Amino acid sequence: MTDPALVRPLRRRVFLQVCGTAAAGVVIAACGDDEDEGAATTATTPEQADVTLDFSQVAGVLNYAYALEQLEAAFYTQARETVAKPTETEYGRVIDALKGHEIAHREFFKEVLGDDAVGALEVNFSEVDFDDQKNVLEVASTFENLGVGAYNGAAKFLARMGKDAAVPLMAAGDIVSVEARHASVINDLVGKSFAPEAFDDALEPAAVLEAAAPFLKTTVRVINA
Amino acid sequence: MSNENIFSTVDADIAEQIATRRGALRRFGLAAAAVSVPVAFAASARAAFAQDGGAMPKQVVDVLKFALTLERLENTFYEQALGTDGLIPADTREIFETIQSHESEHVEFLEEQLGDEAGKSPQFDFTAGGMFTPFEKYEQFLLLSQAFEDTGQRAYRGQAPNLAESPDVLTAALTIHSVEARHAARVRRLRELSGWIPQSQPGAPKAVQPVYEGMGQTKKYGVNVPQVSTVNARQVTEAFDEPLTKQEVLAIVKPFLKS
Repeated sequence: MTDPALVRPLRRRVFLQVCGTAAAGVVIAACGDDEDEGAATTATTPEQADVTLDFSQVAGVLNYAYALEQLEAAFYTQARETVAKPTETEYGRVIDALKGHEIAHREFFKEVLGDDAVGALEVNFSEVDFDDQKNVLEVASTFENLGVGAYNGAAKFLARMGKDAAVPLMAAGDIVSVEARHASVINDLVGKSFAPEAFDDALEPAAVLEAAAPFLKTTVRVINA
Repeated sequence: MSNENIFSTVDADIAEQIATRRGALRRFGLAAAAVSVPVAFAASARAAFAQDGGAMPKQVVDVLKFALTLERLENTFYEQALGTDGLIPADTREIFETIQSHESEHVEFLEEQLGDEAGKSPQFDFTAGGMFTPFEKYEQFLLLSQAFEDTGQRAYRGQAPNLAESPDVLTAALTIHSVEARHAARVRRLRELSGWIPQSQPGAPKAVQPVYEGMGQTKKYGVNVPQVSTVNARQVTEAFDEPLTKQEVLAIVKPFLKS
């Protein structure tokens, strides 16, 4: 499963150029110039104009995951700043751990997408009171349960693409259960059931993006889903 | 969306059956606007495949039968535990009632999909030939519960490639997979562990170590995540749950199956 050779064929076969290629999985309203594209590192990823994710392309589905992980990672990064000593409380331990996990997910997708990765999405947490732990946990619960439904719902799009999407499908499978573990913990901390139903949701991308929209300044749309 | 619309595409008998089943609508996401599991599958995967002019592929049947064995094991385990006076403390009983009710629904769902192929439930020996005393000691019960839930999650994950050609079945399996992960996280926390699986399992009894075989790798599909990010090896290994093969899972549960 972790054959180093996987990533190169993955990129060659599956991930297409974002800009200037008709078959790209992502349509960006305003493509960055070459300098911006080249500077797409963790620290200096250019901010992203409106994004349209094409769910008939593997890169479109993976950028969907990348976008959601960006949102989560940004949220926990900000929440973590209010925690002085993360080991001392369960809240601190959980926020610290989730920040690490979501950054790992984000950076994983960024790396496999390579040149096909959308830029940094601009988030909007103006309604979140990061000093209020209950408020942070409520929003976290929204994100984690949404994440579970999003991954569950995205799988069929990758499955329909056949062999080319086999590896991305497996990677998403390795991540969704971690999101579910998060959802279980956060739900419990905020007084909701850790597992509200015997069958989790499998959400359509449009519904997920609608739920995420209040937390994003960047507009993210989906087509062919 | 009205029930009439929902059921207009499926056989009337099956529709009636579904309509009378508690939670059936929610189960398949039909109550929500976002529906991924088509109603044809909700009624019966076999019927759906038959409509397409074929039987359910053997590969799919095998996955569902494998999943059913695990769900029956879990369901029976919790039924017995909940039925044992004085085993589960009052303050955690609700957690296991919730988990048991989910496992029961999973069993029912898989039996419905498999029809005659479901067969009878195996008999279980949760002492594994005397190795454990889960219905006498709560700590042992928790240990096995955690092992079964983490195994269940990793087992479903391991079967995903075998369902890739049947996206609707895959979706249904995934909606169970993430629930197993939720259960695992809750039980792990009762044992004062993290909800997620850490890089290594210090102090884990030898008997449950195979449950965590293959975790702890930092390279994911060719990406060495700590090398391309600010996160460390511990965070990366926690962030990805890796699959168990069918063989690995069967080796884990075999001691609990009566021969």
